[in-house]
Amino acid sequence: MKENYCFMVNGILRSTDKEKPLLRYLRDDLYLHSVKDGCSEGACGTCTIIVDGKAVKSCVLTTKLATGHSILTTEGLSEAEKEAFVYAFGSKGSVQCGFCIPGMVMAGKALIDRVPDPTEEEIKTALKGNVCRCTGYKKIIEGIQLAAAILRGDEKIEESLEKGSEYGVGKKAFRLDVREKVLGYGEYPDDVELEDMVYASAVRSRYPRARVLEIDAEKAKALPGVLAVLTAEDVPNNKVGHLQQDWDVMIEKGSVTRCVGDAVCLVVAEDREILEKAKKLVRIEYEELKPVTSIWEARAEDAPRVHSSGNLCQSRHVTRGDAKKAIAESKYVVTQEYSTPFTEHAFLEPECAVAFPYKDGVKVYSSDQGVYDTRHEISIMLGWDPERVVVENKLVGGGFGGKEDVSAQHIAALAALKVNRPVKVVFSRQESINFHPKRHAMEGSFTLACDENGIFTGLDCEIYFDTGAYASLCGPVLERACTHSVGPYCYQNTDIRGYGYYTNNPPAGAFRGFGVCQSEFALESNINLLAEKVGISPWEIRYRNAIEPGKVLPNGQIADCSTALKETLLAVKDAYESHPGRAGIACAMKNAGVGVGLPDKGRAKLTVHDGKVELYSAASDIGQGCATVFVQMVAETTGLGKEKIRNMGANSEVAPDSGTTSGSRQTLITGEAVRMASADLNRDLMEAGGDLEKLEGKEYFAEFFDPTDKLGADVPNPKSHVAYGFATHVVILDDEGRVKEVYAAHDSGKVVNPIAIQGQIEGGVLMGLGYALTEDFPLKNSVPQAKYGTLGLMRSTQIPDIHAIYVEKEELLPFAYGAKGIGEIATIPTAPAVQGAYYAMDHILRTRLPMENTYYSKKQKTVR
Amino acid sequence: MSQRRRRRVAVVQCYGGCRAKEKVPLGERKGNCEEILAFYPGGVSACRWGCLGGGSCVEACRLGAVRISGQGIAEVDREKCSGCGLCVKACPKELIRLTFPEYNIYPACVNEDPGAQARKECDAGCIACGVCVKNCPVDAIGIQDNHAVIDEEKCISCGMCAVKCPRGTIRDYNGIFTVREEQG
Repeated sequence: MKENYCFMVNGILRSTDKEKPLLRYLRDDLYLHSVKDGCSEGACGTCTIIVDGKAVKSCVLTTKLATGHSILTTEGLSEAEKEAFVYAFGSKGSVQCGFCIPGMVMAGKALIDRVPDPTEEEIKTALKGNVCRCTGYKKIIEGIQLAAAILRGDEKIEESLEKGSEYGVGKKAFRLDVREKVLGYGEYPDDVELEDMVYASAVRSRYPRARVLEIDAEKAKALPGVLAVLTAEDVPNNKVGHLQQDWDVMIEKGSVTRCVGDAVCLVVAEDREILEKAKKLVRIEYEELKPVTSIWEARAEDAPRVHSSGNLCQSRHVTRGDAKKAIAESKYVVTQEYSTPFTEHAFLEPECAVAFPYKDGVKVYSSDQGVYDTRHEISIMLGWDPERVVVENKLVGGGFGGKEDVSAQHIAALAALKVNRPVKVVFSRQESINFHPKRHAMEGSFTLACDENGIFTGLDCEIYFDTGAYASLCGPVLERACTHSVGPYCYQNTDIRGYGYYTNNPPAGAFRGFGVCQSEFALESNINLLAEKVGISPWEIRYRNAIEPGKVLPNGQIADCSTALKETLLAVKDAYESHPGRAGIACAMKNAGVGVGLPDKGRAKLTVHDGKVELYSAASDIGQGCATVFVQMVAETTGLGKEKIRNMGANSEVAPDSGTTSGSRQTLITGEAVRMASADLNRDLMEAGGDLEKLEGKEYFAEFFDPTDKLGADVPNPKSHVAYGFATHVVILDDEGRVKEVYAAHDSGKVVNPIAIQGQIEGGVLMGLGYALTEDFPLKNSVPQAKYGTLGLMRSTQIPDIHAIYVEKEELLPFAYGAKGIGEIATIPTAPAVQGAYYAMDHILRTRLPMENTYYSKKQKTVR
Repeated sequence: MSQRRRRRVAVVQCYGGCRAKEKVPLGERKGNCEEILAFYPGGVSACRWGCLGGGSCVEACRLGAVRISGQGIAEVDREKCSGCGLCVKACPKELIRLTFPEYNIYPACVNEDPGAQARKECDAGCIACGVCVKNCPVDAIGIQDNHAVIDEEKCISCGMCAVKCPRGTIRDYNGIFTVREEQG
């Protein structure tokens, strides 16, 4: 007889005779979906529950080990606790993508039960096992403190805040998605349960480069419960790709794989267990080939071709003036080589999609950065008109650029059409790490020159990007790396050559900063060396060169009235100067909007329905909070409260295309479209005497497009982008070389949501610190060596004090109430500022990331 | 913001006791650990690294936080322990160390003999098989001197090593991932 494992879950006695991870039992048998599956390896903490009062990762515990214990999930919190956490996390801005949040709540609750008034240190310790990639932890720590205070009776819940009667631009807006994310009932794709739903998963290549000789799936097909095993032959058009269609859906028999993430076949089965068994039964015969492991190998004459077109994927030449002459005539010149690694996005929610036959096509519940992009890629694969494919975003558990390409969506659609049933595809964490595009690794040589006063005269650089197995967004990312390698200064001689090479490494593509993290690290480090030669401080040289309204950027664009780089420099001057020998500084600029002559359009439709304004705009909220920002824009324009406005989400069937969540563009580009539509609605509303009911059934559509000039346009002052955000970061070390404080001053125009922007800045800074100091993505013969837990993501116990400062000017751009994006820039200047701080401390120029010989790189001592 | 001193707690790195092959049965050992060592120069168990069960640590503790369990090994009650370190000094086998309460997962063996021999010596001894190393999500565990050692700087106390340990050597003080003996 089988053993029965009995335990209490949220006060109810449960029993099962199946031994499996408790996470799977809670999610699959009890449908307790607040318990998130972020890694199933014990590393991330999203599945944290409380067992006998202790915070425990449910993926580590098993049903057998749970016997006799008492288990609590977010669903089982008391009403008072639920309300305390919802309010605390909402009012402190603790929630962004939300995927880590129920785990954070449970870790916090376990602590509060033990220590009703926890200190900051105690909270950090309690959260050590819980990773957050969005917030930088600070807001979560504050949220737990406030929840504790409410539960103690020291603080009160202000109900009006969540109600949001005053929800306009600049108001402390309680995000729309706080409650569902804190309590864990909000649906990410993996939380979707449909009748007759089955599961699919790809068998991926064992080798980065190998010829597929044979695919034998007979045994797998014979296993009861296996519905299909699909190969390249079953794909109508075996190519996808965000911009360049170079990515094989599956590697066909006889062809050569390009990276370990490559799919060879796709197994569809009734449940997860059968699926895993069946995948192991597929026998694939390979002829292993030597992989192309680096840019230098890819450039070699006799290098194997990763793609038939050759190994050079993309190149750019950005030039203006005469850099060679300017540099030759300059008093001071610095030339340095820099090297930066691949970086993994490490969003907390692994890729997942659910697809099912729908009308005359297919519908996909997705977690991505643009439903129309996903629709486009799937329709290419199927050879269909795009309209037959409907893509709807569920909650997105973080993206940071890593969810711009299709991953699970297209194979889910393919499988659903094949078996004519709903199909869920969910990536394992390692599959996610091996598959999706990373931040490009860069090797580059940068020469910057200045005159005797430290005024920059010219820049010459050569940038080499490793774009791995597929192009993904190599073109635009390389281009931004080139165009932004100049920095936010004003000089007119530049010669920048960029090359992106295919290798057999995992693909590289978009990642917060979009190429600029790499090139600005190099530029800003060079600036410190020039300052030294001139004999002025790193702050002073930046201030002397800083762009101002009306002056001309190195790309020829005239800086607009909102430009506030100097203001950000002034905001951190005292912090920088009061820590001699321990402080580093760096500036950055980042475009808001795709720009460079592309038809980058924001679209929004407002419908008055059931006495409420329904907002339709397919703009993915990947955690950054744009869904809330748009409702704030409607509220600002119409004076309506949050309760009168509903954001209907990103759904390609009902919402107009408003572009990709990329290029820090949604707040400005889509925000302006929302504002325009709201203004139309408001005119009618005024005419109706403010009675929204009178507008029932009316529709207001707006499209925003502010044209830009393409790269190299033959005009004196090409306008490359609609707007630029600016920032200055100061990093301060303690005597041991630990980052003690970061001052992050930002010009992002008008701040729409002051609670949310702080969390965005803090999270961006922490990501930048990881890039500088701890994060790496080691490869061995093109095979990733890192697990989620060893990527070097900063944990709560490692965070410094981050001071998020935003400077707001009177002069603003005439779009979206003057808001510019904050999404990417927050992560750009941190790494060079860390470099500068170490340079100030020990005068060693660290040109590689993550930096060597720091407090963080030293081998930590072990205990016995 | 208020600060509180971080309390430490003692942890005993042995789960052997009667699980180790005894040379001298527990009940026959006389005196405290120093006396046992002096009286039985050849050792009291096949494992020469483990807890003697003589209770020198119990004598040293002023808070009554240490006891010798029914299995013959020293055990710390973390509720009572203040982390003063007296037991650490009292243990002639250097089996007790101090840690912070959040590190509830610990390898309870310091046997330096090769795995095959350690296996013969004690049912709960670390055989340096490396299963814990392989399963640790954050690379916090390694094998040193033929036994598992945790780097607490990296450890996130997830319990994966304790769950996967085939010998039950890696313990969970909280008694969730591994069963804790009843406090007597």
